[in-house]
Amino acid sequence: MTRARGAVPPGGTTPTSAPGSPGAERAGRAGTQEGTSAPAAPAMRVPVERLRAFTEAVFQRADMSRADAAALTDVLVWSDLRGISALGVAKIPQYLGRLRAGVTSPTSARTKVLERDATAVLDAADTWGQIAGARAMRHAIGQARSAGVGVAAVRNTTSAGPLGYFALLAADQKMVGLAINNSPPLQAPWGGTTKVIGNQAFAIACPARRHDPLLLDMATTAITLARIHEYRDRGEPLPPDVALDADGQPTIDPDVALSGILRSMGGHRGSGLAVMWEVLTGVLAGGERYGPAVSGPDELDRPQAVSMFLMAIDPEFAQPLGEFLARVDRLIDEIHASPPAPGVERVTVPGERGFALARERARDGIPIRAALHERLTAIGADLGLTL
Amino acid sequence: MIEDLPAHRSGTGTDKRRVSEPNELIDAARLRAFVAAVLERLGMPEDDAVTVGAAFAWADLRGITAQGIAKLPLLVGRIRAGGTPAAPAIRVVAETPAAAVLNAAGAWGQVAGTRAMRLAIVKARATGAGIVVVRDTTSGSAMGWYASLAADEGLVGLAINDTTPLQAPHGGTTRVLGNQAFAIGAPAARCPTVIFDSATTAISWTGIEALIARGEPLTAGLALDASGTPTIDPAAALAGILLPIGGHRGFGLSLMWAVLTGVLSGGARFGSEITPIADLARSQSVSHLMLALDPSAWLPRERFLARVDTLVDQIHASPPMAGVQAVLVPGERAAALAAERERTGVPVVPELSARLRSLGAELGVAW
Repeated sequence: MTRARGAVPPGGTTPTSAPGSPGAERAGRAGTQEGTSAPAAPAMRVPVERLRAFTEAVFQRADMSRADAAALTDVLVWSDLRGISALGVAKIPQYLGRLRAGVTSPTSARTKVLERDATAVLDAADTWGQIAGARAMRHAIGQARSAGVGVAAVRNTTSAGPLGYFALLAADQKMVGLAINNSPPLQAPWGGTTKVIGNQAFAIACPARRHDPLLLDMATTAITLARIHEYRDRGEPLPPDVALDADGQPTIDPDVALSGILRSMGGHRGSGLAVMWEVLTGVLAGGERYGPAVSGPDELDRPQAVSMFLMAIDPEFAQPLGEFLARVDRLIDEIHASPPAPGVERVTVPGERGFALARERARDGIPIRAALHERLTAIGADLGLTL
Repeated sequence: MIEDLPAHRSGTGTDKRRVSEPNELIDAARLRAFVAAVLERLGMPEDDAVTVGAAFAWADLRGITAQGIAKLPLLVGRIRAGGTPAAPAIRVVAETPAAAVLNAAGAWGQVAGTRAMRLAIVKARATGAGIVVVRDTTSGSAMGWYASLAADEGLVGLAINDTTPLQAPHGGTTRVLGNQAFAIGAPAARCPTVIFDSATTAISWTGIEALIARGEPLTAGLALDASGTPTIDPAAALAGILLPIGGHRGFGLSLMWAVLTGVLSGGARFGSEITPIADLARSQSVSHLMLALDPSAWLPRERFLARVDTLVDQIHASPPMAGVQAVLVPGERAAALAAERERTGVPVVPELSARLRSLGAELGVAW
C-alpha cells in the first residue's frame, strides 16, 4: 500500500488525476504532496471528440446501433469530463464483457409498460441504464410540461453510472430533476451485519440563470464505489470510517472495501434513506428482482435487474420561469458570499467543481491513466480502431 | 420531525431533571380533544383544529415530544399576537393536473400542510403523482405526519419544509439555510408504514436546548460557534452554526430541499430570510413541499404493498451487531412506541401539564 499523498476529505469531490499529470497539483490540494513510493506512468490527454468517436465505434462494433452507441458514449464521456473517471471510458472493458456474455442487451427495446398523465413505467429489457434512464427522464420532462411533474420508473436495466447526467437533462430543460438507481447490496441496514441494500446513487439538479445549474450527485453511503476505485487506481488508502471488510471490521484497503461493506452516510440516516430509495426504485418499478436480489456489473451470469426512478418538476407550475431562476441565482449568490472558514479557499455550491473541470477538460483533453490507455488501445486494435 | 443521533435523543420525552411529581399519562384521545377545543375557542375552524390535535398527538405518541402538544402554548401565543391567523383564507393560487401552489396566508403549518398533502393525494390518484407547494406558513412540525397521511391512503408520501436559518454552506461561516427536515413514507400490507423522518443537521435545535437544560456538552463535530470554529458548547452552537449530516453532501441535500420549498413556492421570503417561530407577531414565511405517488400507477397496489413487506423482512433478517437487539426499518421504533402509548397514554411533564391546565382554564376548556 503506497503512503497517502495527503489528507483527502472523506467522499470529497476532489477530482482524480495521476501523479505527474497537469492535474496532480489539484489532487494534492487538500494536503502536502509527499513522494510516492512507486511513481506511476503519466496520464495521457485525449481530446474529447477523439475519445467520443473511439468509444462510439467500439460499441457499434459490439452490435449496438449508432444511436444507442452514441447515447451510451455520451454518458461515459460526460463522466470523464467531470472527473468521475470510474464511470467513464474506464467502463468499456467491463461493458464489452457484459455484451459478450449476453447479460446486457445491445438493443434498446422500447417498452412502455404502463402510463398515466404524470407517470410511466418503462421496461429496459436488460439494456444499458445510461440509455434507458435518459429516455425515461425525457419522458418525465415531457409529462411535466403539461402536468407540472413527470415521474418515470425503469426496470430491468444496468447501473446507470453518474445519476447527475440524468438530473441535468431536466435542468437543461429548465426543470428540477431527481434521478435514483438502486444497486446490488453494498451496505448493511443500521445495526445489521450483512449487506442488504444498495448505496442508491442519486442526483438532484436545478437550473439557474447566471450560474451553472445546481447539481448534487451523491449516494447514501459514506463513500461511493466510484470514489473507492479512484483511491485504488491512485494506490492510496481510504479515509477511515467509510468501509468495512466482509466480516464487518473497519478497513482502509480499497480492494477489501470493494468486496466488503460500505458504511452509511450519517449512520442510521444514510441506511434509512437507502431503504426509501429502494422503495422508489426496486419496489415501485415492479421488476422481478429488487433489494438484495439486484446484481453487480461484474457478475456475468445474469442481468443486473437494476431499477431507476426519474422525476422532473416544471417550476412554471408555481411561478414564471424567470422569477424562479432569479431566486435560484440569489440563493447561490448568498452561499458564495458566505465568508469561508479558516483553511477554505472559497465557498462553492454542489456541481460547481464538476462544471469547471468539464470546461477545462473540454479544452485540454481528458487524462486517461496509462494502464487504461493501453487497455483501450488493445481493444481498439482488435477492432481495427485507433484511440 | 427531528431525529437526532443516539446520543441526543431529545424527542423521547424523558426529562432528566429531578421533578417532584411523576409525569401524567394522558390518553391520546383526550390530548387530541383538548387541542382541538382550545383552538376552536380561538376561532380556528373545527376541521383545522381537529387536524392540529391529530398531528400533535401523532408526534407525542411517537415520542417526538417537541413537536407535540408541547407546542400548543406557542401556537396559542402566536394566534393571540396575530402572527398566526386562526382562520386564514388558504387558497390554491396556481394549478396544473399534477401540481398546485397553496398560499397559506400565514396559517399554522399543520393546517396548511395537511390540506396540501390531501390535495397532492387527490392529484396522485388522478394522474399518478401529485406535488403541492405551500407558501407563507409557520412551522411544519413533524414531517412524518404528512408522509403518514399519504401512506394511510396507500400512497407513497414525501414532505419537506424549510426553517429558520441554522446551517452554513460547506466551508462557509454564515447561516444561509434552515434545518431542512424531510420525511418519506411508504405503506405496507403486513408491516407498519415505513417512515423515514430526518433533519439535515446532525443535531437539532431542540436537541441542543435539551443539552443546555441538562447542563451537558455537545459531542464534537456537530456545531461551530459564530466565528466558524468547532465548538462543544451548546450555547455557543445556538448562537453559531449547526453542521449538516454527511458534510458537503448533507448541505447539498439541504440546498436542493431549500430550492424545492422556499424558492419554488414563490413565497415572500426564503433561505436566510425565514424568521424565528418565537417572533409571535410575524409569519415565518415557511414553505412546504408535499409529494404523493400512487403506486397503482406503477403496479397493482396489493403487489406493491407485499413487496414493501418483503423488503422489510429482508432487512429484519440481517443478523444484528453485538449490542443491538434487532435490526429495524425506519419508523419501526416510533410505530412500536405509538402502539404502546395508545394503550398506556402519553407522558406529559408536570410543568407542561400545569401550563396546559391554566391555558385551558383561560378559555373554558378542561384539561
